[in-house]
Amino acid sequence: MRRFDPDETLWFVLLLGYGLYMTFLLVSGDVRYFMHPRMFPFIAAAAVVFFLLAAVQTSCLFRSSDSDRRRGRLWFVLFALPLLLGMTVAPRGMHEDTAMRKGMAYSGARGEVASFLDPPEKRIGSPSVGGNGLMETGASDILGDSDFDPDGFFTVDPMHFDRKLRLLEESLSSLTGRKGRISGFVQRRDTLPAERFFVARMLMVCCAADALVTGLLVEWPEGVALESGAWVEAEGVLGSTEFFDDWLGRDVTVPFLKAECVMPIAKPANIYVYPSLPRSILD
Amino acid sequence: MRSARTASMKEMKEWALFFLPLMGVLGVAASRNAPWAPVSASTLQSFAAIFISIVLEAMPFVLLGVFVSSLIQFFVSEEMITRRLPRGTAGGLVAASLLGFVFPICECSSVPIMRRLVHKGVPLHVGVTFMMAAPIVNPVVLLSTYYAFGGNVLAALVRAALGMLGAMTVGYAATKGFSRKDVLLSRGLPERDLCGCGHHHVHEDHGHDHGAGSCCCCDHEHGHETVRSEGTPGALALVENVLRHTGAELFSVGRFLILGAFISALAQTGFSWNLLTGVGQHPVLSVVVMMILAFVLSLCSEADAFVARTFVGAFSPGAVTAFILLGPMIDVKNVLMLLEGFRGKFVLFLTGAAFAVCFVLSVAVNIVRF
Repeated sequence: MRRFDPDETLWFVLLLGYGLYMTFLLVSGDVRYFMHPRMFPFIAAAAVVFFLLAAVQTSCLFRSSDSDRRRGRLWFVLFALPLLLGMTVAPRGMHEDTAMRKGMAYSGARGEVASFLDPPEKRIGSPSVGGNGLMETGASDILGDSDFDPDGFFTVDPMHFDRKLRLLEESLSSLTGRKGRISGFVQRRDTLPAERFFVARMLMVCCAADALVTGLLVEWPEGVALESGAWVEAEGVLGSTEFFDDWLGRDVTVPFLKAECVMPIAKPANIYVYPSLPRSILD
Repeated sequence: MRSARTASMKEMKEWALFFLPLMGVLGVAASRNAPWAPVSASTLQSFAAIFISIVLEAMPFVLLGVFVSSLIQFFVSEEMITRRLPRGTAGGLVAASLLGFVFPICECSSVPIMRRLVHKGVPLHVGVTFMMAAPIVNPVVLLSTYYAFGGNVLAALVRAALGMLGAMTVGYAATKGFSRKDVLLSRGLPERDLCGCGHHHVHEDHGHDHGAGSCCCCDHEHGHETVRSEGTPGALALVENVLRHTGAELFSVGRFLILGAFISALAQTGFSWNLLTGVGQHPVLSVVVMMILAFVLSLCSEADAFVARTFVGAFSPGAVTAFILLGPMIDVKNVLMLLEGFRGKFVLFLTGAAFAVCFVLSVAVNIVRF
């Protein structure tokens, strides 16, 4: 005799739940709090597959349960957990403080990044080369007129945040003394005086789990009053400076903005920025 | 009477196991703004964001993995595999390590596919090498490594070469210590494997035979009212069976993916990376620390190079290499998914071997480049 099977029904509800949750995230746009936009088609495809699996599962609602699923209903709780948290906590992305636990991918270490497997005598930033983290040669991107706003500012805008920071470092000598602008949240470091802070954004590669904090060092005498995590836009003059990096354990030279004006701004709808390719690759 | 009461008690216990944790999760979530909340609202929000993002990121690829696994189950016979594989061990190792170039899959897909392939008769060394190398030599992963390290071709090449070498070494070691039949768990895929229909069979005499590895496509209710098992299944029935099988495997593998994502999100939310800086320049300790971090974080191999670049300068070159080598080969969620299909002793061996090989290769990088 056919009888209602609660385990198979729970599995059906979970499959349907995943399909509906993914659809909701895509339709509402909330998926951006979790994923890079290039992953959206994968989420859409997964939602379709979940609906298909749920449809097939309907034929099992009145039959004897699968032995695996009989092994413990705790497994169903585990499957339900992402859905429950998604609906109850409804996270709006990772909190800035949590991202900062991973340290800061500021632009000062880029030169070292590009040469980290080179021999020590050639490695940029190594003690034998002088401890400067900047990439002095081998620039992979080209500074062009289109990188400046009509008002002459070099703006590190959210659309090209990563690329503009890279460009700033690679073309620092050309940009020193030019007007610059950046917006993001205030990030403080223990080794920095109160008037110096980073204006940063979270850089997402694939998903929120790999988001890193990256940004530009800013100096503003009135910055003492700014709270960590506050969203601001800073304008000023670009240059370079040295500071002691507790993560690297030594002094590093980084691009910085001597701010003339720092204004509070509203937290943007999308708190993340994404890696952007050099123009040489895009072209 | 007594057995009925015992069964009823067992059922109640199972439901308690379902509802109590559920209430706990809802309680924690509901209390996020309350002064008595066990965790702060921002911590809970970050934990939920990381946890859900790992699940969402991995789920499409796990679905792909279990779907391919189901297709293999239904359409690929042991003979087909045996005919196409290189005869010698060395040839098998090299071919398996290069498969990732052709089938660009990540670690979430590679585990269910490898599990199915080994069940289907693929030699252990080929399966293990494929599982560990494919997420590293994947062209998308190598391109992201190149880009993450500021256009550093050497970083991408070193990653590919050491990844293939490491995977082949672990694959070779696996064949020396284990045989294919010894490592497979009887509870891993068996009942579904027997008939391929994704259903529990009460093996009574019900009028037709289920040959091992064959698809009965019988629209089960085994023990039963309706039997439709004669002849070849129609296309629609076959599609339905593949999807049923996919769903069954998703349950089998997906729960461990979610458990791994939970552990990884806990680690990311509760642990400050600044605590690691003390050992960053030690040629050996830095490698060990980075391997443990890669194992626990369970990052996607497409993204881990971007995280690894934040360690450059603060950690030795070998430690950074260890981070991008070990993560794709083995991590918390992979270990948990593997435990569903393989014996614990074998999974422990794979984990230990991957750690040992990555350690040796990464310390070698430090010796050459430190």
